[in-house]
Amino acid sequence: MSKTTYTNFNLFDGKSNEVKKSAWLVVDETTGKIDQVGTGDAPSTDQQVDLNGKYVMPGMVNCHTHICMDPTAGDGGTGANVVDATVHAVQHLHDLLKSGVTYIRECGSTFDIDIALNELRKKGVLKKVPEILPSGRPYSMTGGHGDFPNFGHLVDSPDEMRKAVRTGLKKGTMAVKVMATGGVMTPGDFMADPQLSVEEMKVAADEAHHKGRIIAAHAEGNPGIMNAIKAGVDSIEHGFYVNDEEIDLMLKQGTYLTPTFVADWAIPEYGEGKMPDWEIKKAADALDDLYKNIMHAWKRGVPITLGTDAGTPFNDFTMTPVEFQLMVEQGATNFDSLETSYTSAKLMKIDKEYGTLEPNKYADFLVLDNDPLADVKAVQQEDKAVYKKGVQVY
Amino acid sequence: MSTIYYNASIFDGKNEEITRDAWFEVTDGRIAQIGTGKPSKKAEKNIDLKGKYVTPGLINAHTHMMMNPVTNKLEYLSETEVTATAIQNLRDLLESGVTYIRDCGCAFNTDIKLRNFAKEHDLEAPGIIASGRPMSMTGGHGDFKEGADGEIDWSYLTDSPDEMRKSVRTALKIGADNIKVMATGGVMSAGDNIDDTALTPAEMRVAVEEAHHKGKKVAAHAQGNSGIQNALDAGVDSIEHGIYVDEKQADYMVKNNVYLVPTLNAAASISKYGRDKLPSYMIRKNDQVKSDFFKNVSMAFKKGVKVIVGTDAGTPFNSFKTGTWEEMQLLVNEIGATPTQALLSATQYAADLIGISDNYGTLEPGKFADFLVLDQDPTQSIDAITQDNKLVFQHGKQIK
Repeated sequence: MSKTTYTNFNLFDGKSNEVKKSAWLVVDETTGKIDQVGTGDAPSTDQQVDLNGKYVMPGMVNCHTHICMDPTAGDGGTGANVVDATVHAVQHLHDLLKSGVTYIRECGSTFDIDIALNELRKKGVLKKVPEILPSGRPYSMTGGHGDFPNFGHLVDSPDEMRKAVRTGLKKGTMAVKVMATGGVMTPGDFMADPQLSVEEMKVAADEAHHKGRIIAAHAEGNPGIMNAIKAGVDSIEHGFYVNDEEIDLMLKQGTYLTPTFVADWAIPEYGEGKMPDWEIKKAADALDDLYKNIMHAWKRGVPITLGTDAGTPFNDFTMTPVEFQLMVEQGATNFDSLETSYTSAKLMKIDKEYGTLEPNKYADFLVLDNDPLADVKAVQQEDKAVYKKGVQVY
Repeated sequence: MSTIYYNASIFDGKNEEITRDAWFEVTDGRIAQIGTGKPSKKAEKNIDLKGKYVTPGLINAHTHMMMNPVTNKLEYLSETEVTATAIQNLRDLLESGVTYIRDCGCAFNTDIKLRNFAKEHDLEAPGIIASGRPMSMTGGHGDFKEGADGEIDWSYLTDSPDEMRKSVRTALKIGADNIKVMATGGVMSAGDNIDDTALTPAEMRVAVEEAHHKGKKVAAHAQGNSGIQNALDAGVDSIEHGIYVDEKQADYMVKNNVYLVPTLNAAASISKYGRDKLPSYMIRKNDQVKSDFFKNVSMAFKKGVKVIVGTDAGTPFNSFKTGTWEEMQLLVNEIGATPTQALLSATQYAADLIGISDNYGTLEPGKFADFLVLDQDPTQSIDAITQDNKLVFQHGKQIK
């Protein structure tokens, strides 16, 4: 049983609001888990690695990605055939891991590609990629936000939803995604349009929960957000217009909220002249409301997760750390923003073994030149070292 | 942008001897000039190769990019799995020095799609001559199911000349560069008799007609002696494997310019790497067949049959990373080829077989700059091409 001790670094463990100096951690090479963590004199083990005074933080958990989408296409590029989509998805997974994301939850993949790639990852055929909680294809009403080619299963009744979700779970979906409202990218709808009904979404939630899986709802405006909460979803994704009545119910039910600031920010930031005006306008108009409402929900105690909607226009797979920067710009503390990664792990029910650097959790960690707790932009370092289960992958 | 490489020892794939003290200029991905002595000009970049050995990039004329030689999972594959496996295998091939391949049978026609993808996007891959789905009889060597629910067959199942005509025309319409037909069964399956035949000469003759009408070639998987005869009677352009080829057939192949792609490494890999992993009856059967196989291919080679480097990459333990080199070593060590002959089998002759000689296969002005830089002289010892940190260039761009 071989162990490696990493020494001479400053530790941000992911759950404590402090950086511990002169820290060490021991990794069990056989299991890839952390054996012990401490400060001061390090125990002597088979291998010692000196981290030269750098900063260590947990690998990021991004709970909202779309690896099959093309961030250079205004419509997400879901029309791509399965070969093109797969080649890009594999590249996107490498980009994610290289940027420091060690676990993702997909929120809608064309052709169920995420399920297939996760199987290959588990077999060791696909290497240097994050672990994946796959969603497979999402569930949308006909003409709804998921009605893109090769993308949403179109369901228009509780019975159709039941059949579709059961089939999806059978195929390997581990995180169900439903569309409660319209969105920015769909030309035929608006954020405030309610789409799937409470009954339709409740069936999806029940079926997911029967198998111990989680369910997320894309929900941007009202009453769609409330519909999704009442249906019993585990998380609201985006939540642009979340209000106090909804926050009350979220606090009661323990519902998580994934802001995906970077997705909405990227469109007006980079899209001028490259995307249709109607799409830029939708995103730009709502950005200030998004910031305001999310920060209010955060202050009231709604658990906020780290998720970016990676794959949407100009929102590429290296940009997860930018989410921290945007959160801090809107008034979150550095610690609160970094902690959202651990909250993602809790939402995804993987927090017993991921999300923080503590004994018996997997040694998924990043080594940075600068202190992320002092300045979250430190996490954007391009040549950071990335360790997955104790093995350096980048 | 032009680059001149000088102080090189060039095996150009055309001449059998090395040209020493040579230089060549690469412009826009192609070879512009080759000379000896001091270069006649200075380019934007001038690189001293310090006497190292330059050869054309290697060609592997028989791969299965969709196959995983470790898991050996062949059936009920999703197109996603096929694609993800293929892009990794393509990268391994290119990094090992293989700059062009002919894929000999791919589920979902993914080889055709990736060939097209690579034209529009960056993809780390050799150039691809794609066969798409092969032609097999019902119950034959290529008859297995693909797709998670078995919704599609690996091969076109063709059980008459008419069905063959339709299928080949469809394959060519979809974009196949080459047509692959199954003339026999496979030696590894427990229920096969080695001399069982599959497609009839009449069926294969239609495939040859239709392919030739569009300037394409037909490769026949043919292991047993009768099946090889059927394929030759049908007029195919190459025999793949050819385990039980006899002297009369070898003479015919020489006279009619039919190539032989033995894929020795398929049998060798099972022998070398499969011992603790495969059932012992399989190992025994393979060893017995392997000995006949090498003997027969050796005979054909000595008679002058053009033997080409192709490995059947993807079959059990038959690696995309090392297989092409292993095949060339087998040609030298088991078949009686000289290192130079093995090199020609992976360059000029292979390019002729797969139809890319206008632009590839040798290092000559006008052709693409696909080349390797080796520390040792490969014409003296074929082991020189196994150098792991050899430099690999594709269209003038350094890959490794």
